[in-house]
Amino acid sequence: MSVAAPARPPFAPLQGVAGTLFGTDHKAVAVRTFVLAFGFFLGGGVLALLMRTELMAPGMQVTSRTGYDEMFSMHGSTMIYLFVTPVALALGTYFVPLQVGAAEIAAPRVNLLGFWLYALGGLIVWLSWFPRNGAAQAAWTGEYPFSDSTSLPGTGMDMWIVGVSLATVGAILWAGCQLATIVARRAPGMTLLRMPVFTWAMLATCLMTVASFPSLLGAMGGLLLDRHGVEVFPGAGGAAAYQHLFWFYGHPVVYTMFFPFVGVALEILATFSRRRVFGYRGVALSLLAFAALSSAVWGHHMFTTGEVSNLYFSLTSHMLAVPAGMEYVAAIGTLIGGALVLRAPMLFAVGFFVQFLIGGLTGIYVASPPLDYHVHDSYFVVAHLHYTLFAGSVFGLFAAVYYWWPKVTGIMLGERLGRLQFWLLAIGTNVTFFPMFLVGYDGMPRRVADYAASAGWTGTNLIETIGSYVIALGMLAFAVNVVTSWLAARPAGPDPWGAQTLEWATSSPPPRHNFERALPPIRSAEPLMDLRGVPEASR
Amino acid sequence: MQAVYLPVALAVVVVVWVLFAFALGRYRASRRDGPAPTRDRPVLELAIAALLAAIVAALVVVTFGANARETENDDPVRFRVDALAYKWGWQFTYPSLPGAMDRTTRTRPPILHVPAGTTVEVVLRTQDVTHAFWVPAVKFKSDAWTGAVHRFRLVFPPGDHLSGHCAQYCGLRHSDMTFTVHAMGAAEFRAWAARASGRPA
Repeated sequence: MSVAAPARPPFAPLQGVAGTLFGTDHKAVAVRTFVLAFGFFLGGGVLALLMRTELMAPGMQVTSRTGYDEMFSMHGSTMIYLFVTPVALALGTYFVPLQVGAAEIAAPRVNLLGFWLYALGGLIVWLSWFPRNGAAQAAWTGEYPFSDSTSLPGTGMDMWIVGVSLATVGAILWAGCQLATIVARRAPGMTLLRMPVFTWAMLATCLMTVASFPSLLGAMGGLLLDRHGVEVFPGAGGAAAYQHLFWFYGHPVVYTMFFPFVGVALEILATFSRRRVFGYRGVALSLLAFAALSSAVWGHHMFTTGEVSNLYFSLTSHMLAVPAGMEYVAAIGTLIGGALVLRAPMLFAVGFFVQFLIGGLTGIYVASPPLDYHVHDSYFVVAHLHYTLFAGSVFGLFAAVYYWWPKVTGIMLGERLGRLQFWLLAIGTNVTFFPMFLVGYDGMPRRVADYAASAGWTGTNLIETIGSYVIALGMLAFAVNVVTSWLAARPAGPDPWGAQTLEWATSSPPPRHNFERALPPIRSAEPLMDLRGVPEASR
Repeated sequence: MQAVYLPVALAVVVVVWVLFAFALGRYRASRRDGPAPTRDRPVLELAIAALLAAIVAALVVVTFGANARETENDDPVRFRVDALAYKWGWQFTYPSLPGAMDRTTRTRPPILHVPAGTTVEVVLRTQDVTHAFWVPAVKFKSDAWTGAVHRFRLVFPPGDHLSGHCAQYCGLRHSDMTFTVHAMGAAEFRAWAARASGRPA
């Protein structure tokens, strides 16, 4: 008999291509999510440029009316379901275990399943371009009864429903894994009130995600049945029922796409001010209050329906300004008294706060029914939501990318191209989206493929289109930066920024089980500052 | 409303941006020896939270007042319009003027005829999917829901070419689902009403 081969452990880590695609390491899953989501970001961005080109002048230039309806529906759906939500959660998938000093995320296979559901869902949504009746044309909201089988027959809409549902289940699974990690995998000494601000933000995000996303699954399931002969939303109450289910998800998801970036932007502000974050307890408390309140504001999307209590929903929606304001107090309090270094992550983090303010304040406008009666479903709302999600979240995302890229890859991104990208994006964003407030207030409705030359909106739309091309240049600068810095391969080392939290206490990229050496003692929310002998904050 | 919300929003923008600009200008590492240690100021934070809550409370009071004026308007109705939205056009009929009808044609959007400066009630219905009736000049819109009736009262400023639009995305020709409001003075309106209903003025 030959000598028996050494027994292979039953769950040995997968190597090579299989490991890259199927491994359960939370870091690899997060990177996979990121790469795929940036692919969808590119696709959604190309659609945005095509739409802006179409709207550059009155008349139809680029596409047909049906083509335009497909484009804006797929643009919104891609950006919300397949880009911002997944990247926001993927930041937590990567960094929550590291920040709490865990060797692995809780339930790593469930986490991996989340990725595959998301990938499959995204693929199905984008394959919906191919069926005979084309892609979904019912906006990112799946507007009922317009989305029923009478108005929108065809497989594209069904594929959209199935794909969106799968991606949403994936997001719920990711959130559950992060919550379990925060509850059960914190390192010794990592009490709740020593968790980094970003981890607090992810805790609030994941609570909202698991509480509100199932409502979307209810809406999608009902819609799919309704389209196939089961009367789920018929008659006068049907549209109201659909909208309640949808918006009970549809408002909290806005904060799922926002809180993670608040968290990372505050950490960046602290790191590049060389001091601990100001008002730590206030930040944690505001995030929790914000998350709780987020489940009581959905009706402000429905004022013009006459189906909701104007007083209740305008009161709750106005109240959001208080916890939101406290995040700004923390940001400004951290900067004042610091020693500020304006590197690329810091520029994007400051840009995030400064620009999001416009999105936040116009959010209070639409919380007031008499104002909302005018601006609802107009370009004012398009401007508002892009100031929150693009001028806000996407800037927060690039802050996170520049900040954590060295940790994830072990390589520094180029600083000069980073600055160039920041300024191109900042100029492009404001030139594109600010004029939309003006045309919207003047009467331009959203989701139109065309507008009359006599309406007087031609010049403004041309300016917006030029702005969108500047945004595209900014994205190009990022792509160039990724390629050139990859070729230059400047090693980052474990902690290039002099940062504060545990992910910087390990190598870049971190090893399979995150920490090979003993963790530093955790006596505050900034254990690396304790190591450097920085006096504790007086809290 | 805009007269309250815009100044408040601008004031907040100015305060926050000035604070950011001040911090970015004054606290550069290159101009300082080092950072000051972080000291939380719970009393200050609570005071700012209270100030924010007070501003919010004031805005809510203003909103509730304006909301009551708009939704509980019980001025006597001088003229009524029945508006029907459909894919993709509008039909306006006038209960006090049997036979008068303005409707989207193959070539042009319809004209909605109303008296200016007086309370007009619009009774809005849809024939198919959700649409929305929006006249930017009166800063108001309302959805039209399948199987439901929406009633609202508006006072139009005088104008022979106020634009109106379907604001709720409804498919292929949503972009073209426009109308024009012709809001007339009393004499002009009487003359139109007589012509439209086929009676001598």
